[in-house]
Amino acid sequence: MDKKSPKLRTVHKSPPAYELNKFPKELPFIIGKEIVYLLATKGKANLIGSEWEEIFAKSIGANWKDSSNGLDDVRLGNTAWGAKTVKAKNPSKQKDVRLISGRNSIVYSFGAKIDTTVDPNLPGEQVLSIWNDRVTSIRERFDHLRTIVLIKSNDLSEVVVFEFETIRYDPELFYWEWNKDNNLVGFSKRSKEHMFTWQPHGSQFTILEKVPNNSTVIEIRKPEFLDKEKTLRALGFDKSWITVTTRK
Amino acid sequence: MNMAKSKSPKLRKVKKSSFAFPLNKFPQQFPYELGKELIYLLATRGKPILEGGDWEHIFANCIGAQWKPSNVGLDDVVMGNTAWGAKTVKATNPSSQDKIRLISGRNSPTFSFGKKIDAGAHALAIGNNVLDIYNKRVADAQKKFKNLRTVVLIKSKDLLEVKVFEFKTVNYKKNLFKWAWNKRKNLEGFEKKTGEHRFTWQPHGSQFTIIEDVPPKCLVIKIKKPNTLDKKKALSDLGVDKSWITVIQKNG
Repeated sequence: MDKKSPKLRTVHKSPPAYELNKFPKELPFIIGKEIVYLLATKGKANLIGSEWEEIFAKSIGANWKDSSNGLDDVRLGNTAWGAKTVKAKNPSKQKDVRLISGRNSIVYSFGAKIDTTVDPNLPGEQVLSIWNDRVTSIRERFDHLRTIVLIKSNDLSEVVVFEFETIRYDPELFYWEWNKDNNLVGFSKRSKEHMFTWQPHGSQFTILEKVPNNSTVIEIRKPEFLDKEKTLRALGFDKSWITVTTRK
Repeated sequence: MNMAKSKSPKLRKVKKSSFAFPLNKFPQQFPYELGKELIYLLATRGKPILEGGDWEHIFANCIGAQWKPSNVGLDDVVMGNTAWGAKTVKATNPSSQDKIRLISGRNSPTFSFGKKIDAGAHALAIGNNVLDIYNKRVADAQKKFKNLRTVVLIKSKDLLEVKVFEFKTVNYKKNLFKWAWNKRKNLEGFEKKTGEHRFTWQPHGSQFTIIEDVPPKCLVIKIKKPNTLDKKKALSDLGVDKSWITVIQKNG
């Protein structure tokens, strides 16, 4: 992509689970089916982060393990994924997404004070270095680390799936400013593009990511709701399954 | 039946909104409805995961109220003049849990008052700011609803035992509490009268936690673990096949 980058001999000592964004053929159908099932059973179009982790893991035949840092919830051999969901009115037209990428608290990690009058590059660098340390700690264990994103419409009838390499960001390449809401905003020095946002209240760190052209769009037909009573009956349910007491 | 009858003023030409039910006197069918919802959730998801949003939705269903997820989290479930915030808490043994910690929003003095956060700062001043933010949220919700409550679900890890109770969502008088930084640099609020620990606030993340006593008389529901629903069969019963899913590869 960058014309100035030197050409390097590609070394594939440890190939990843599959090539980036070249998903296994069945993946969109497995994801689609899981979403149909979720719509039919839940009775509301709601897909939360942990469900996406599980669905994605299933679609590639990987293990799902809830991690505390959210960067390696899904694991398959030498590859780990953090899974993110984002809502959009029209997922297939979405050009970029804001990914909430953890709480990077400089008060907690560096014992620093938050002061919106100081040079914004100082807290900006600290926020990035917290992120970088997280990435490093996982890259020590996995040769390949990715983020898998699900852009979902409100009714879950259309979703977009793509992935990108989860990388460390060199603080030298970015500059930071406080915006009028007193949030810290990070820009690329080269392109001046807005890359990061960090909120001092809540310490939420957001990375802006471009949606690649070759992402996968899945359209899903809305199912009828499963008949709850009938389903429970088929499972043999009766009132004796429920015991009610009032603790005194 | 109408508890509020004696204190409500008589109003001309205004249809009085209905009073939900007396605090902690859940409708008779409520525990069975809730038990059923939990069994259905376990059967369809195959995993004992019940998130905050699920509880709001389930509670609303069980009492025939509307589910209106809000940003503030104090009025997610609405019925007539009553609104509930719904909270879930995990416990090893829900029926014997006497106290719970309820995560009650992110109250950020930096954001709300433009203050600097400093663990060496005056504990009382920051504590008061945190309560001010919480009280403002409660006051805003009270502008819309006469009765504001919190309904709590204490759940076991396997979801086979839960305890449910409600309490009135109130604002807290600042002069009744004292504040101190603990050794982990979190701020703790104590009742002046009893010395009891009531609040915790974390400067990193701004998370505000209220410690609530579980009332002595509480509804405890135990359920039998259902078999997991056969997903393939359920989908084929619904007529789902590959044609329901359209895949488009965006290309350039």
